[in-house]
Amino acid sequence: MVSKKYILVNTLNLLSNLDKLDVNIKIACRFYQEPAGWERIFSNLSSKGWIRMERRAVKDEYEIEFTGESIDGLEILLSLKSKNGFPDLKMFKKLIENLLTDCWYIDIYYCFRDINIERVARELGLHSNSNEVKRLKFEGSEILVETYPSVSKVIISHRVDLRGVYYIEKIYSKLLKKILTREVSQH
Amino acid sequence: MSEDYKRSHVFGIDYGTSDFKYGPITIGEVPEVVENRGYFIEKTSIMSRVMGVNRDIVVGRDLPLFLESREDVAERLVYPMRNGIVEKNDLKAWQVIKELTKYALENYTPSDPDFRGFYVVASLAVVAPRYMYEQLFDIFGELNSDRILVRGATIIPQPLAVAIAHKIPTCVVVESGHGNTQVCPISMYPIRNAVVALNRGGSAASVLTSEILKDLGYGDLAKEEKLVRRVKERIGLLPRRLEEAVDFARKNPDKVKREIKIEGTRIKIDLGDESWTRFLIGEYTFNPGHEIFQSYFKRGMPRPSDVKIGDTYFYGMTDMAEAVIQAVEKCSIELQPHLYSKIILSGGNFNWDSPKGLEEIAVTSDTKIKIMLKEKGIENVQAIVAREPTYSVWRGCIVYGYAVPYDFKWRWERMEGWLNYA
Repeated sequence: MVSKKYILVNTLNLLSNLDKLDVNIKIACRFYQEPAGWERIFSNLSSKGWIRMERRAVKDEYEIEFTGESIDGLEILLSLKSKNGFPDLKMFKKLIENLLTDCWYIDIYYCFRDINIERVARELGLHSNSNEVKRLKFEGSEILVETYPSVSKVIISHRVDLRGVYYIEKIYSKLLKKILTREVSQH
Repeated sequence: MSEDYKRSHVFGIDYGTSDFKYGPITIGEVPEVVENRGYFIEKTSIMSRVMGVNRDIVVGRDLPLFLESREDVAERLVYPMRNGIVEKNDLKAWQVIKELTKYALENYTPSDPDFRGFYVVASLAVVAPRYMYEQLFDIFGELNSDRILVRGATIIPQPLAVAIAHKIPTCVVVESGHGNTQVCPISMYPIRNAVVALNRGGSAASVLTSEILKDLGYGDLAKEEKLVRRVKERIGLLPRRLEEAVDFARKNPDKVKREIKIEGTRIKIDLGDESWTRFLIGEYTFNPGHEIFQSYFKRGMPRPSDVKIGDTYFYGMTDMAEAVIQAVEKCSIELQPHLYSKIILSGGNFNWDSPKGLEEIAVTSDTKIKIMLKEKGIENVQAIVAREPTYSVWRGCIVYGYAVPYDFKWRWERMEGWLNYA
C-alpha cells in the first residue's frame, strides 16, 4: 500500500522538476495594419506593473526581452524567461491577454531543451530517430509539434488571437503538461 | 514565398574560429555550439569498411568517436579557420566548412512537405575577404543539390551582428572569441578601414592557465586543452588593478583560495597559496604586455605574435584599451566621442565575474576597459558587456534575418540583402 505521504512527496518532486525544465518561450506579436513596436507594448505592460530595464521588462520572477522587429514595424519578437522554468499558467495567460490588446495575433513558440525525445515522440506518435513535424488540430486551431532528436529539442508553436486566448490553458493542460509530466516522471 | 515563412525560418550561423554556433529562430536565446573542425576519415582502412563508415569527413558532436592515434589526429584533424579566415585555396578547410554548414542545417531540417528551405544569416569575421563571402554563397547553393536546405542567404560581419542584437547603430564592438579579437567601430555600417585585429582570444588565456597548472604540479592535466579551458573559466578572475589584486590575495589567501573538482572525474585542483595566480588569467586577456608575464615567456610560454593573414595584420601584444584607441582614432574626430560613449564587449572572452566579497578587487570586463581607457586619458567612456556575450553574434544574425524583408535582394556594393536560391 502506497502511503499518502509518499504520493504527496512524489507529486511535489514532479512539480518542482517540471518547473525546472529548460524551456524558452518566444512570442511574435503581429500588429494590425499600422506599425507599432516595443514602446507601445511596454507602455501597456508598465500599466500592469512591469518595470522597464532598457530592452527588457521585469515583473516578479519573469523577464520579457525585446529581441527584434520587422523593418515594416508590423511585427515584434519577444522572449519570455522565468527563473523557475515553465511560467505560471495564470500569469502567462494574463500576459498574452495584455499583449493582445495591442496585437492582432500572436505566434507562441515553446522550445524545450535537453528533453527525452524518445518518450515525447512516442507520446505523439512521431518517429524518434529523425526530425519530424506534426500538425495537430485543436478546437479549430493548428498546433505545430517539431522534434529534433540529434539536438534533443522539441518545439511546439501555435497562433492565438483575442478570441482564442483560452486555447493557452487548454493547450497547456492537454498537450504541454501531458508531455512534460510524462517526460519528467520517467527520468 | 511569404514574409511570414521567412520570419519563422531564419537560421543563424556564427563561424567562429574555434566555436561554430548555429540554430533557427525558434530555439530561443541559446544556439547549438560545436567546435569548428573536421576529421578526415581514412576510408581505405579495412576497419572503416568493416564498420560501415562511408563518410569522408566527420564534424560536430560525433567527431571524438572517430579519432585515432595522436599522429593520425595531427594529420587528419583540420581546423579550417585561422583568425577567422579560411585560406582561399585550402580545399580541405573549405570541405570542413561545407560539412559543418550541412550538419547544422540538417540538424534542424524538418521532414515537412511545406518546408522550402531556411533563410540563412551567416556571420564572418570583419576581416574576412570577399572570396570567403563568395565561397560561402557557393556552398549554400551546393547544399541544395539533394533537397532544398537554403532558400535565401546573407552574410554579415560579426561585430555588425553584435551591434544589431543591441540595436546600437553607432558604437565600437570588441568581439573577442576563443581564437582572436576584432575591434570594429560602427556607424550604421562597420568602418572597415578602422578595424584593429588582435591575434589573441580566449585560447591565449588558456595557454597561461596551462602554465599555471604546470607550476602547481598538475603538468599531466595541463596538456588537456578542454580541461584547461574549463579550469580557466572556473578559476580565472579579472583584476581591477593587477598589483593591488595580487597584494590582496597574498595577504588574504582564504578569500581567494579556490579548489575545484572536475565533474565526472576524481580530479581535484587546489590552488592553495598560489591562488593569487587566478588574477593573472584575466589580466593576460586584457594586457599581456604586463611585466609579470615576462617570467612565463622566458620559461617558454609562447608570446602572442603579430601575424599577417591576407591583407590584415593581427597584433599579438597590444593591450585591449590601446586597440580600442587605435581603432577609434582612425575615424573622424567628430565621431570619436560618440564611439567611446558606446563600447560593446562581446564574445566568450569577456565573460568575467566579480564574485561576492571580491567586488573591490575582481571586476567585470566593462569596468576593466573603462579603467584602462581612463589611465590612457580617455574619459566619458560607456562600456557594456553583451548579455550572454558568447552568443551575441548568433543572436544578431537572428535579429537581422527577422528584420530584412524576404524580397530584399543581395547587393555586393552594400553587402546586404538575401541571395535567393529558389
